Amino acid sequence: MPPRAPLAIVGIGCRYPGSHGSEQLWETLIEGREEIVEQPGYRARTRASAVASPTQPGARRRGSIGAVDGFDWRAFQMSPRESKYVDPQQRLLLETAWEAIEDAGLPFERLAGTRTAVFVGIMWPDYAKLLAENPAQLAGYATSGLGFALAANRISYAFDLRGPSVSLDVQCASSLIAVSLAAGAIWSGEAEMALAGGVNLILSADSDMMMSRAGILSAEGRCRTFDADADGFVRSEGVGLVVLKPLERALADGDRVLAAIRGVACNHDGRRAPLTAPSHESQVELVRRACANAGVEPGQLDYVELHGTGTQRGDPIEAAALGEAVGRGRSPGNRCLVGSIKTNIGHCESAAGVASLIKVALAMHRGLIPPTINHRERNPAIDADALGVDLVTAAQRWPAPSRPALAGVNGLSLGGGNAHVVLEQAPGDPVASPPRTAGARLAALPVSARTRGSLRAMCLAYAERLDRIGEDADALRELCAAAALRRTHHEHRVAVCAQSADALASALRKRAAQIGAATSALPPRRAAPRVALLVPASFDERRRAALLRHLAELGPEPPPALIDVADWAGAGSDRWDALLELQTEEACEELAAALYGAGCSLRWSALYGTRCAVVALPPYRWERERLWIDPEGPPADVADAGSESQNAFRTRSGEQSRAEA
Amino acid sequence: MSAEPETFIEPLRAFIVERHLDGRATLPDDAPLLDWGVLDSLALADLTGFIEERFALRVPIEAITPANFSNLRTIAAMLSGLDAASG
Repeated sequence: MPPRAPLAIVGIGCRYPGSHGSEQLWETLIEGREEIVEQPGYRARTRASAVASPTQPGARRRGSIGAVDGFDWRAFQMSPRESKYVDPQQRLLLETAWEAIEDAGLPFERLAGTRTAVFVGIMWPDYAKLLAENPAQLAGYATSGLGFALAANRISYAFDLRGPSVSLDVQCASSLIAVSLAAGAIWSGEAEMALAGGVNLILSADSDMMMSRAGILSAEGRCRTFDADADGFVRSEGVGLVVLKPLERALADGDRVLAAIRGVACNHDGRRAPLTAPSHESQVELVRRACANAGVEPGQLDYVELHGTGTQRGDPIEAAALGEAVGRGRSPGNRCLVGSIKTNIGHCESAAGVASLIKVALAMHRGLIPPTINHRERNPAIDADALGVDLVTAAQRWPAPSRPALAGVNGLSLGGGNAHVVLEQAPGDPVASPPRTAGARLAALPVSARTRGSLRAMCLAYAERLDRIGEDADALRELCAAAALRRTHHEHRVAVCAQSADALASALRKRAAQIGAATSALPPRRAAPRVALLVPASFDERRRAALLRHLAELGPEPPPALIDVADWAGAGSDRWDALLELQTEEACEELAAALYGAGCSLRWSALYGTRCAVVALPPYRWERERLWIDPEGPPADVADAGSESQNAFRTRSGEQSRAEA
Repeated sequence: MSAEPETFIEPLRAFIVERHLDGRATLPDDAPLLDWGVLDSLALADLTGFIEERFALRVPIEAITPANFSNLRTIAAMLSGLDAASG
């Protein structure tokens, strides 16, 4: 079978212990940090937690992603009542999908309605267990809030994605199998793009207890892949999603390609080994088949990101299988490098495979392989020399810089389901920064959000980003172009226009301070803004012509009304949502900023062209509110709560009648 | 004599704000309930139950349309019509 067309990884959204977003994850990795903490205690008060388990061996330390009880219900237009009944894993996936799409530089409207697939790995129903312990609190929304299917389906719904939408559980291989199936959906033509990955939250103590008793958790609380002292893994939380599209299309669209998927394979051990034990032969076949699908020889792989849980029995089997598949016939100076992200962030279970994939994609994009930490002495059962593999214990460059790097990502599971993905370094073809139109001294920067609070935070985040640009005019133009062309324009908007990054930053800070406090009212449907431009009497024919030309280029929707100041005595100003008073002959950039701030949609390509590089913009700033089932809260039974509401109302209307009387 | 639409708006508002918005937001008459995910098929059953109990009005299945449940005003107008019909 001929190799398939490579798929580009064009965006990443992730939260793993110690980091939010791929930039921070990279810092964790390249600095060789271990992001494992003393168990912060269960977030949820459950009966199980009373008998659990900092005392259980291996359950003392873990990787945590911090608070997960909050959710920005306004950003996702999900009522607070429904939000409370939605598994926080689903809510995290929604936020992470948003961040991944933003990271890919894809405005939501370009994605909506497309045959984009969603494949998501998920394995623990902890929130459902929490609710089940409080049956009085169950509500109808739990039907859709707790089902695993909705983990993928809710993303498809939120962003109007119409390709296959599947949640899957293959335990610790879940998210890598999700990536494999997503790739398959694109290759089969069923999907044109895909979001794939997984999520893992630990909200109740019973899973700790089971795994501790199964003897697979590290009593030391440290993952030591391939080490003589390896004694099991550390449990961790996490969520990660990647955005995939055909490489050819990504290059045509001017996307930033982090790495390319060349081939995938999934299999199962069958009855070759006991159910929960890994099979050497199956792992060898897996890697060989993934390479064959990719059209590469296993011996060409420069690096393999191990499943690498750090167990005494599992590590040697994985090492031996890799050695047989990829290590044979290599010269001593050309060993296959290996490593494991689990030494940094622990084992994120159903979000682990995609963490490995993200690590390798980042390593390819940045040209550096991060170190595997916690390694002192090799596990004597692993004969690395004979196997032709070498653990990366200090950051290093890719071994063959003259050609694109090739790497494998291994994902195994307790139940015997396995996956392997072959990645290739992307062709280094960054889109040139947009040509500077002659005489363009000004830059217009649009910022938007779904709520006023988020808008304020986004303005400040952009200001910080601008502070780092300094005098670099090209970087400034790239940033503004990406904000205009590569970001979703939400309903709450601010735009500023200035000559330098400094001036834009201070203008944004000033505007942020002026944004009014959020109203608690659920806003009415946003009608098209009525915008009027007041044209000064001093405008001669030439200025007037320039204004009309700018308006024709920017194509504001809805088009503003032009009013001559001479004809306007201030009457009827309430007919307009925004009255923009032109002082002088406004530059096109100034006009764009004013119209955008007034709520108009613009053809930003008039200022920045159509091809625009994806550069790092500030991620969305969520305005989360705590939405969580309180185990001791009032019951949520429909009839009960209904009558409560009615009672509350009756009281109020009773008061009202007394007042009237 | 049928009840004016205004008669229905405040009770509906109080119910939806408390029950679906968890008291976290106020609800203008024209806020789009469907766009905001406040009303969906699960919430509609709940709301029609409240309407039956509070106003002794049965909402016929053919009246359950997105246009009728678009915002507080449209629901109240529909109920006012039902009230008139039930005499």
